[in-house]
Amino acid sequence: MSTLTHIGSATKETIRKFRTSTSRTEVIKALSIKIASKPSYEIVIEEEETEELDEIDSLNELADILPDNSPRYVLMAYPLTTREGIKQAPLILLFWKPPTVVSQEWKMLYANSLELIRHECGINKLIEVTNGLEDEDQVEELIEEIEK
Amino acid sequence: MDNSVLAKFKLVKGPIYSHCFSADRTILAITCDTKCYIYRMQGANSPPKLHVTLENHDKTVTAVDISIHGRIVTCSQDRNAYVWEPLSDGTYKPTLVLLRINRAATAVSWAPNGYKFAVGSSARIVAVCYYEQENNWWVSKHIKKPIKSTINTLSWHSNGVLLATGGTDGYMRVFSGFIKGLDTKEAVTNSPWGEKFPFGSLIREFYQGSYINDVEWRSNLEKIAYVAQDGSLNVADYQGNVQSVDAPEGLPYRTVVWVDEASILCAGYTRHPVLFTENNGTWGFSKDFNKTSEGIAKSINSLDISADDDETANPTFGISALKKFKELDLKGSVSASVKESAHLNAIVDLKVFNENNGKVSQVSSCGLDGEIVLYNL
Repeated sequence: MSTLTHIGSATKETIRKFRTSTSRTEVIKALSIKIASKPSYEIVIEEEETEELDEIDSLNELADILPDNSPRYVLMAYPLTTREGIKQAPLILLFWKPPTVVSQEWKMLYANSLELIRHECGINKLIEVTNGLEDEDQVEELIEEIEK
Repeated sequence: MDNSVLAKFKLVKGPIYSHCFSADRTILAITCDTKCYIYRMQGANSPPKLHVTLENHDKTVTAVDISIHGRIVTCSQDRNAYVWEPLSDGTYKPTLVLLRINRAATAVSWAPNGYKFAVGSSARIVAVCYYEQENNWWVSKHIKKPIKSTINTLSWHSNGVLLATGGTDGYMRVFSGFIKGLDTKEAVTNSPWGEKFPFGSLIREFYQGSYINDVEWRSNLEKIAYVAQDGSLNVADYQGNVQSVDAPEGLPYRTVVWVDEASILCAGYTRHPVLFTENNGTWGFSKDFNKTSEGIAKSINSLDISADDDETANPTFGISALKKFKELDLKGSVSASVKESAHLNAIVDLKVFNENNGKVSQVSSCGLDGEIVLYNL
């Protein structure tokens, strides 16, 4: 477990609420989590991006909202219908790591805290998005990954 | 055209692939092999003084550009670009820009506002780089689709968003280089090229067929001039019309620059600049500057006059025999009366040096002969 970064209790509360409220969602719901800069390095919810993420209909719009120079953790409830017809909305964590991130320091911090977040969110699946979702094919690949 | 050459400076022993003057024309930057030399200009009659040498690149420096703020960017075949920041003591501090390309960089151009620059490369990518305050670092974003081959040349529109590129796949393309946070939507409102300009989108492409050597915007006319390796000069506009004219001497041009609304100056392997003008909507050859004059026929006559002072005894027989042997020596060679053009090898880069009321009066050029020549138009 990393001791460089930590999750504040308010953030833990928000994550818990998210998990319970989205268990039966029909649309994609997402929460954008980032690591605040020095000196605290606290893991917080990125408010603005989360608000914008509320409006999205599909993953195509992810690339427009998420920054292309900083990594992010996106906790997502993605509605699926299984082959038997059962509706589910599993929790998926997207590790957003576009190629234009320049700072080695940030890459290390986010990679370090990944396990911490994973544990906290209690997720089903972790997917790393390293191509910045620049075009349609990449978004489709992502959707396939999710639905596997 | 004797007064067409304002100044000629032979600066280095190798080819100069790219040169640039600062906005006030006091500083000249040239590339030579793995280094970039910075000179202080001392007027048209004295040679420029070497001020500082920028040597961080491992391979040939392919291009250099100076922004309106005085920052210098150099790019090289070692796949890197450096931004050189001028310090108060006259030296430059380099900052490496991670281009993330896996082939040589071929061309570089600062946007008009001086906050971002575009780099063309052999990796089939145009990298648009800008400074990110939060990360304290230069970030580069790639334009990939649908470029299929090496990019040779770039030109920014004055709005700082439209970027024209030319490459070896025979296409001249106009892309959007819009960076969120640096550019504003106001810059592109009412643009005849389109409505939305998301970064990296292809706005228009023009197929030419041969390698595009140089491209340049005329922003107020919304036109683009480009020269290709098949010896043509082409002018394209936003409606998709292209007008072409061929080089009168057949040899292709390597560089092009707009002189005014209806005049374009090109230069290349013929070693002298050529002017084209538009009359009634059609472009055509106008005049040559500093062309090598043809003088072989005259040479034999002039030698005739000077050499025969000592042949007084037996004039007719002696003179004609001497003349015959002298002429044998001269056959096929060029005598001293022929004027050479200022450049001894191909001209590869032309830049505007001086302009009055939107009309360019002086241009600077660099060539494979290691010379910088200033021409009066």
